Amino acid sequence: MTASEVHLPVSIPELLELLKRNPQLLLFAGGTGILREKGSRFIDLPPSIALLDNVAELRTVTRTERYVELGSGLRLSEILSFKQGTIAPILREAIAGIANPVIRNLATLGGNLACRERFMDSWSALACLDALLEIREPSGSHWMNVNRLIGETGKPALPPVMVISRIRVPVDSWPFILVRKLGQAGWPGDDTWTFAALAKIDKGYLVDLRLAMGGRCGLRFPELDSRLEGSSLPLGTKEVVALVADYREAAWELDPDAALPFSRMADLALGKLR
Amino acid sequence: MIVNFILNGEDVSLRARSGDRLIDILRDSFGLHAAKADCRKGTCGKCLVVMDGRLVPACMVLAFKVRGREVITIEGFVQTDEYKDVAEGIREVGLETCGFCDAGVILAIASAIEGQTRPDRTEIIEALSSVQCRCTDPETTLRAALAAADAKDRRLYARDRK
Amino acid sequence: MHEGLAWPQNGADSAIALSDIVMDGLVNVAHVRAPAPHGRIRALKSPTLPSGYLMITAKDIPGAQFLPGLDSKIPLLASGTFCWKGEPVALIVGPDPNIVAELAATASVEWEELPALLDGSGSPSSSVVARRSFSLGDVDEACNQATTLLEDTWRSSTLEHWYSEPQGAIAWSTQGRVIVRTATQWPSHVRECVAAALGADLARIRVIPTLLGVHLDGKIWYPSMLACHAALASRAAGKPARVLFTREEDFLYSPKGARVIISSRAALDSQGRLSAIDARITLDIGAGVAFARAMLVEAGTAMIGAWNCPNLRIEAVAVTTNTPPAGAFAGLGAAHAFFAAGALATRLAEAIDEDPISWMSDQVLSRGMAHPSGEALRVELPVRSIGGRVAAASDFRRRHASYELLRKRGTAAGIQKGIGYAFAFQSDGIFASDDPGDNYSMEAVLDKDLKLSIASTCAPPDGGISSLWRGEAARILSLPLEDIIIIPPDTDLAPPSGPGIRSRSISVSGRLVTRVCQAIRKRRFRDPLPIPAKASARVERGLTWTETGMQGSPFMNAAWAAAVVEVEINSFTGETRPTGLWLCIDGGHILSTEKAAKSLRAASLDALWASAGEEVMFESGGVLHSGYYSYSHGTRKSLVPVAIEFIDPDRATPPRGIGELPFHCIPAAFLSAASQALGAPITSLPLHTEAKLRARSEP
Repeated sequence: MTASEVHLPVSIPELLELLKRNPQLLLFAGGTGILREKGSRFIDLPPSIALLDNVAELRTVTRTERYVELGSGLRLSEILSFKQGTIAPILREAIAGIANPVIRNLATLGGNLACRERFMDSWSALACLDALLEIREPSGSHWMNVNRLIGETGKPALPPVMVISRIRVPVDSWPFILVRKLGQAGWPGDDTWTFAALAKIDKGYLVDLRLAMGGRCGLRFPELDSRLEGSSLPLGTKEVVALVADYREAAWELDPDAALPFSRMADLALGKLR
Repeated sequence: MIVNFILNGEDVSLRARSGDRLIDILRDSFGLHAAKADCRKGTCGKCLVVMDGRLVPACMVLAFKVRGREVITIEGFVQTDEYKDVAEGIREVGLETCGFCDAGVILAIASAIEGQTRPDRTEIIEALSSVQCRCTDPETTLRAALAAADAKDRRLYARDRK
Repeated sequence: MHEGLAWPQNGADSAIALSDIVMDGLVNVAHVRAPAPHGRIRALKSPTLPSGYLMITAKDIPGAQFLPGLDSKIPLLASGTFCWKGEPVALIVGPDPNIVAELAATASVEWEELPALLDGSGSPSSSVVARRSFSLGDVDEACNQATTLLEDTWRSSTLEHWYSEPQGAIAWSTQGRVIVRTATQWPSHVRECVAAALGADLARIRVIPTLLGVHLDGKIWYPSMLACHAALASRAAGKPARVLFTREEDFLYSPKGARVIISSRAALDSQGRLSAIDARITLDIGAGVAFARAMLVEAGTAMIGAWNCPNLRIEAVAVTTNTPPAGAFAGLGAAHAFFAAGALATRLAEAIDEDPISWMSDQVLSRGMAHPSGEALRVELPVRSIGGRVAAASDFRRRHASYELLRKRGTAAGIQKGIGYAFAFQSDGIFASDDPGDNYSMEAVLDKDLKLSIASTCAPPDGGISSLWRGEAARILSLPLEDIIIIPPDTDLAPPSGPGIRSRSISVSGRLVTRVCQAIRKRRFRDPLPIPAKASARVERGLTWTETGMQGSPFMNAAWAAAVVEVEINSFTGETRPTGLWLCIDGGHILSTEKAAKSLRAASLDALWASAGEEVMFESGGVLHSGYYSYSHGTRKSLVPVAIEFIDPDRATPPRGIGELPFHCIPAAFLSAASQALGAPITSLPLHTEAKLRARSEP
């Protein structure tokens, strides 16, 4: 039982300075991800912790015509309480499916994205939306597409020392959305996946299609998504069957256990457009 | 570390380790036993408390996260008018709980009906989903919450008429 | 007085929880556990113990090394060899609960590996600890002649009780006596075990149970084990000692609901009549539990059922494996076979395009016919009436036909619906040859203030039962409710009794309440106050099934239930949503239909959710650690409408145990509903997402 030093930074520069001095610093927001799979009475924590509650910049909301920027320290329940139209419906639906209301009163969007072991529930919705993450590192900052969180093996690949400060979520209108959770109802496990799909339809033609699934790996195949773009609706059975088979193959390459759920969900999404 | 916070309306201070959970602090240091330390993963709802106005599982809150906050446990909540509404709802439908999840059930019902507008069934069911105990029959708990909402409406109406 | 000794008058509603007991100088106990499923202990290395901390091993036990009164030989602490991963090997005792846990984790067991049996499905003869077999007629010939023959293998997985409070116990010494507090279904057994472990007289041990809550039969014997550990620790430390599992620890190391495999063959003759049942039931009890033989007999009896079937061959075996102890779950074994028996009956009816409810009603024994044991039925079984009622309430036949049509047309895009039916019975009077603890006693006194106190160690498990006892006493003696006091099931205040299982707090103790009150009423105006009365009863033996044969009837004092379950399965996501549940109960006189309905509704949902998705998984013989986090005992996010109907609940028959009926009939109805929805026979519980996804035809 080691004692931990708890820092209370009030700004991102201060937080980055702490990170620079101590790359092992544990960033603690809602804490639900950190306490995940720790059922013992006492929690052994790393020697240095930064509690993010007082960093005001992490709790801001900015809206433009094209996107909304959400501070990563916003609690999930706060995001759900935004009035209709503030955030993309697919993100709202994905967040509403996370855990239970009392966990959502603690957990933050940044924490949900910063999990290094798996892709949590909000990722697949944000991946479909091509949301951007503002990554702040001691050496500088940059914006990064959430899809780039998928590492070579399909596992999350976050920069080692960084802060996700904002999430830029496009606000375009998508007439077709689908979010489904698969697997057990408890804490996410190996068989738990969150699937999300978006489609845009114009004058009876499919003009944009995006499918993503997150779990122990992240699955997003833009080159397959684009194959049926320009097709008239309803989609033909033959094309759909062929595309589902290709999604299955692509998912199998990444994680054989993901192939069946991904292809079923692709079938469901495309079936609704059929 | 020294942790200062407001507990059931009183300023309190104690020495804790960073890895201590709020539920153990409440039970071991303050003798507040109505909330139980059970699943320690935020899903059973037996340790619910109100922290800065939000219902949270005390097992998922570490000591350093409580500093400067206001915490209300069921022992504090029973002093409020809102509790009377919930108690009336529970009594009206004869909801019987096992004695372990009572704090969670009461606070979850209270959170379901706390808003300005009357919640619908779906909203109540969602709020009650924070408590998972084999003893609870969701249908009766839902009816208790609806009856508590009625009791709240009656109380507020009577207050406004005064 | 210690805070923990306070007990409210008039019922157990506000009795204290074990974890709420606070005592000065309390020491905590953590377990050093076996590192593998099976091994020989070479050495046990204690960690460096700070002052005030100590370690206890088997050699420190002054009395018996094994728990008495059970039909498995279960050591208090393993010595020589260990038999399951996580078995207690030593105790670490000290003041800080976090430090004892850390010390226990750093203690090391040097061991050599022994061959481990992790799966009982092959049931090698060396692992069979109990066996019951029965045969009637010529099963093989009936199968050869059959026009319809179904062969299946049914499985139900290991279940977690997820009782209201994790297991634990506190013990301390005062004035030459040892006081034990624990949440137990069987206070008398706790006392017997602690006395044996300490080598002390029974009279020196006092057990004061704590609040029990929902237990699903997970607190029959294991509290006795932990009470012994607490008592040994208290003795060694000279202070009050507490064992209190975290929920995670409880999940990993406490006994579970046993898994079962049933291989069945069932035949229909040319008239569509049930002509043969051939079943082998393998109950995997892990490293051993209480009541293994009773479970076997209940499971076998459930498989035999109430069918008018001329050819039967049932073989039931209990096997031990090197996995955690696994036994009762909401009953002593009947549920472990009813799920298969009920779903099998639906499969048979559907194989010949018969309506399942009508076909099953036609296959059931009638009055005057003999049960396979040879005992003639004296009354008509209520299967047709409960089946008819539940069919009408659920509109079963129309729904069943329309879902079948939809499925055959293949128009159910994504959401597929199914509906299933099953019936079952709950009998208190089914016995193995030597079941322990079937003797129940009660004492009552009407004192000079005309207040009645009732004492029994067959504890009312909750305030609901307690209020039923008080209501019955008030009715018989015309006393106001507030003048009737239920004495806590403290072994100093109440006579010893068998365990609170099989709804016996209603079916047996409820009758004892009636008897003591009637005895007092007879003497009330004849004898001076106070008037004491005692009553005791052995549970009436209906059916006894020994290794040599079967006698009697399982239907004596049996309660019956029929269930219909309707489900929707999203074949794309695997999401299973029960959309309706109807239950019809014939349970004799129901003391309070309102309380019974509430309790049955909660139990029904537990049975439903256990069927839909609960499963304890294993890894290298131990419980899979990460499974704790994904285990969900039912989401409360969707309401399942539950309709319950009682048949003639006011009739003047003794009350019967009905609490386990949902677990007896709902899983089978659920399996049949899921099978219809998926268009494929489902024979395993719970339903796995992958199985559901695969059941759908390839896109």
